[in-house]
Amino acid sequence: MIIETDGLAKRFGRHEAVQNLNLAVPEGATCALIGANGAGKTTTMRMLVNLLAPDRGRARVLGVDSRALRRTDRQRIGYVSESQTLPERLSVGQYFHYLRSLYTNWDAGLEQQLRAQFELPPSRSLGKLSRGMRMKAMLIGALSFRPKLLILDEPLSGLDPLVRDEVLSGILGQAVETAILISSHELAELESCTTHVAFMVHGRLLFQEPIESLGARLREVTATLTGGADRGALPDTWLNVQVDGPLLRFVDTAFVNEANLLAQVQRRCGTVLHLEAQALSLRDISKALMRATRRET
Amino acid sequence: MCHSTNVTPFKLTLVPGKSIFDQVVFAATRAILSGALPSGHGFPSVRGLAADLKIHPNTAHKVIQHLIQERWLEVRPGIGTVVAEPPAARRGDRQRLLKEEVDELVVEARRVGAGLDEVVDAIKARWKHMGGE
Repeated sequence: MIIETDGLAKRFGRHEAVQNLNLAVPEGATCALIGANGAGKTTTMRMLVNLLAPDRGRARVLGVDSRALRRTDRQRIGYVSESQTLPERLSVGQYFHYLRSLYTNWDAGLEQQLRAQFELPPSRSLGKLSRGMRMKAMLIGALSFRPKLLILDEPLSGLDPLVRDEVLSGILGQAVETAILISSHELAELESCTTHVAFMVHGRLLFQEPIESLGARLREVTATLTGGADRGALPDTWLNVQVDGPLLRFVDTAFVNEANLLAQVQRRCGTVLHLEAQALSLRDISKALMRATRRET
Repeated sequence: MCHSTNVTPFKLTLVPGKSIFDQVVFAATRAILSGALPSGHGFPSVRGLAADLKIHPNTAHKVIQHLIQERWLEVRPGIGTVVAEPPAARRGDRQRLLKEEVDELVVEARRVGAGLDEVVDAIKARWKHMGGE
């Protein structure tokens, strides 16, 4: 495993930001870390790169305990976060000159290629870059030493669609040799390039699995019944159950096939006149899960 | 130096519930059959395909390997991967199409209440669109 955490936990005051987290990212994976705002994604990532110390548990990153990451280990991990601070007064050119001196494994050719691809103005100071340019600069800084692992915290947020595309292409250009953990709300963009999905809710990991198996087991179901549904007896694998007259709607999180689903609905709700089970996009899956797990306040 | 990269002449509109691999393979074979990608024309590289369609390069690699194996593409040393002459159907392909896949179409048509004439007309239109007689 490229990343493996064991009972990782972090608390801020009375707020349990991350609780008993067991996350595993295999080699070669591009893993999307998703969840509502405040679910603990950023805190998790900050612990993985040792910007934060866990209160309990531990994380192994590239086989090394996150608390014991050394300079040589850091040269194999790229980390980009939208809240990262940059030496604002340096020009783009000076910034990369500085980074080049920090990394023994810096690939100047790749840096040049990415700078040309992203069209960064070399003499502009970092503090005067637009949001998109700034993200591109940080990304070049994280890609140019060809890390074994990239940890990207919201790299697409606040960027216009064209820049999002460019940033994503830059990331994907490295995805063969690099495992990636990426948090984002831009799920339509992530869906086609993600291999794994990890979903966090209130500091906990709800599930982590390959994107194909997630897509295969979730369906939005609409059933037309003759009688009403007995809401008390419905399985907890059915989320967001709505009953409207003869219509029963829910999201099935344990779908196997239509025959099996029909039998389940019939057993609980009597005769089924019509049944439809539609596959969901990653964005719709995520929305359904967020709705189902939203805390009542 | 004249350096040309092959653009990907088809788009990917994701359909939920189907694997990305299957969807890209389908889009590529459709582009080849419709003439958008004539035989002898260069096919994008793994990186090009991944960047154009925003898919994981490992998926792009699998797609290209699959298309080569199924003889939709061929590797020309020194040139790269190009579109091959449309492959001859394998035994069993034709039978599978005429039975199983037509069955699925008929069931789906009856489910949505489409008439036989409507379905036949739609097939004819698509057939022509793909360059068939």
